[in-house]
Amino acid sequence: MKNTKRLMLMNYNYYKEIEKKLELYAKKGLVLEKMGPYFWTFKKTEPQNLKYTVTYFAEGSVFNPHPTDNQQTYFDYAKAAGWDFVCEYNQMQIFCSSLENPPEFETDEKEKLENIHKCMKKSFVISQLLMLLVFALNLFLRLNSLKRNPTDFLSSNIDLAALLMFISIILYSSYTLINYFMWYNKSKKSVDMGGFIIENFSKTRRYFEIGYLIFLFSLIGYMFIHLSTNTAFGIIALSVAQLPLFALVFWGSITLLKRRKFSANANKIISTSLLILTGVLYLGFMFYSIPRFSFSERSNKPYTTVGEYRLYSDKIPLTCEDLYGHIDFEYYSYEADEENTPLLHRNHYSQTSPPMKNAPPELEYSIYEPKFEFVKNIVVSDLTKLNDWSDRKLETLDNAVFSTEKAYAFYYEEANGKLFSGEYILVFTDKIIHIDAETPFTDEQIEIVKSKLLSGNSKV
Amino acid sequence: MPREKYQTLTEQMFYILLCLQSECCGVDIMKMVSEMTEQRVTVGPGTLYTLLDNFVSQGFITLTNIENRKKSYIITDKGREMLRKEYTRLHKLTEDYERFMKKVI
Repeated sequence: MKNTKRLMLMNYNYYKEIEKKLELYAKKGLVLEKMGPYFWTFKKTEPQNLKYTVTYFAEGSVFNPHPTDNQQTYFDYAKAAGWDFVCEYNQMQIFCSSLENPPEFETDEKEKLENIHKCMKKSFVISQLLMLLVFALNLFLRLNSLKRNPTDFLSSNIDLAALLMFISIILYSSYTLINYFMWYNKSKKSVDMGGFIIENFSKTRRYFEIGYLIFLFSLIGYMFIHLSTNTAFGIIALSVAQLPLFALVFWGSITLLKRRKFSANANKIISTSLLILTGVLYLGFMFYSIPRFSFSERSNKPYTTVGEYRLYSDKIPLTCEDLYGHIDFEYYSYEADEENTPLLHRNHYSQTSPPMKNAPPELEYSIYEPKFEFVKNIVVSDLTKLNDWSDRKLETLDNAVFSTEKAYAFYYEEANGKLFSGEYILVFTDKIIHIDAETPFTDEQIEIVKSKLLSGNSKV
Repeated sequence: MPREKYQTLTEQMFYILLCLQSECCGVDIMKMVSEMTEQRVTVGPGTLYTLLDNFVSQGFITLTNIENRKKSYIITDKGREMLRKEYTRLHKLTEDYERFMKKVI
């Protein structure tokens, strides 16, 4: 009969639930053959009444070329009691019995709990702690980036989604660990009083876990969809390919070395080193190929080229021509970018020329529409921040000039007075405009800016 | 492993040590305990493995022979002392029970 694979999203310590599920499957004619991290293989047979038991064995490991001698002794004891070994994964071992009332596999709750705890400390707890560490480090880097460039961060859906993902993984891992230790302590109290190990499974928890997984995968899916519309296909392909590639290298190496009867330690060292090496090589390949094949350049907008410089012709609400009159120059690039996050809507516009002698005036501006007051405060504070490394200073302007709530202009202190750079931060009730022209605006230009950007419809 | 764990013995520990007065392998212990107690006490294979492993590391029993993966054990002086201590404790319990119940009746 044919084999079939089933996705088993079971926590490592849900042994009771696994036993119930396997018994139910056997009744339907699906008998467990092999287990893996997610997909378990079942053999299609006639419906059978089988009893299953899940146990943990400290010496068990995915790197073991074959069951250890001690494991074999364990299997022999099980066999003598009417339990047949089915399969193992890491430290989890599954036995089944066709007897109607097979003897209990574990008859001492205290020893059973201590054995589970010993195995969990070796694998489950360590892996959760490692995951926490890795994601806490990622979260720290993300938060650092948020602190350094809050405006860019808050207007980037990818950055916000990544932040949310890291926080949710950290919270979930912490919850899993806390939950495990609470279960262990409660069970310990219970067995010390002569009672049983506490049932560590509930329907509510299961729904919560499934809900969390759906949330996490939606978030990852959203990030990929967002990336695919904003980034070249090459980067997406490279990013998506890395996970299956790493899994293939790691598990391929483990399987091959097991077949060649390498010891568990040698297998662990070689496979892990190979995984790290693949990671480094892949990173190198990405660094090499992305600039070489222009993967990082967006390719979904029409453009012409001058040398290596790309000229876009997006529509922008305010142009140099609006400000300075007709300019006889055919190599201007007009770019408009929009990013809308649940916190901040940002439109960025620029009119630039390729680097050249006697280049015409350039213009760059962003219009931010914060969706919350605190976001507005963060953006204003970020845009008006003065850097230690620059002698650029900020002057508060009369609000009547641009009809603002607050308005600032940047200047440099020169020997003969203040030299205004043409960069303004204009704060309105519902938006903030950051505009960088090459020279300060004249009264006439201020009116043009107001009519083009503040007339109620600044979008193109 | 905390030492207080073996200040007293569970029934299963008691019978395993009792079986090992003479050299015996794991599978035989399971059968002997069931027979000795007329099925009242059974030692599951998982528990048997863990207890034998712990007893060896505590020095209560020692591994005497390995033949075709079949491991045989025998009780040590330390194990015998532990068993004796447990017997005395249980004996004391029954004595106390009888004395007290006589008074009550």
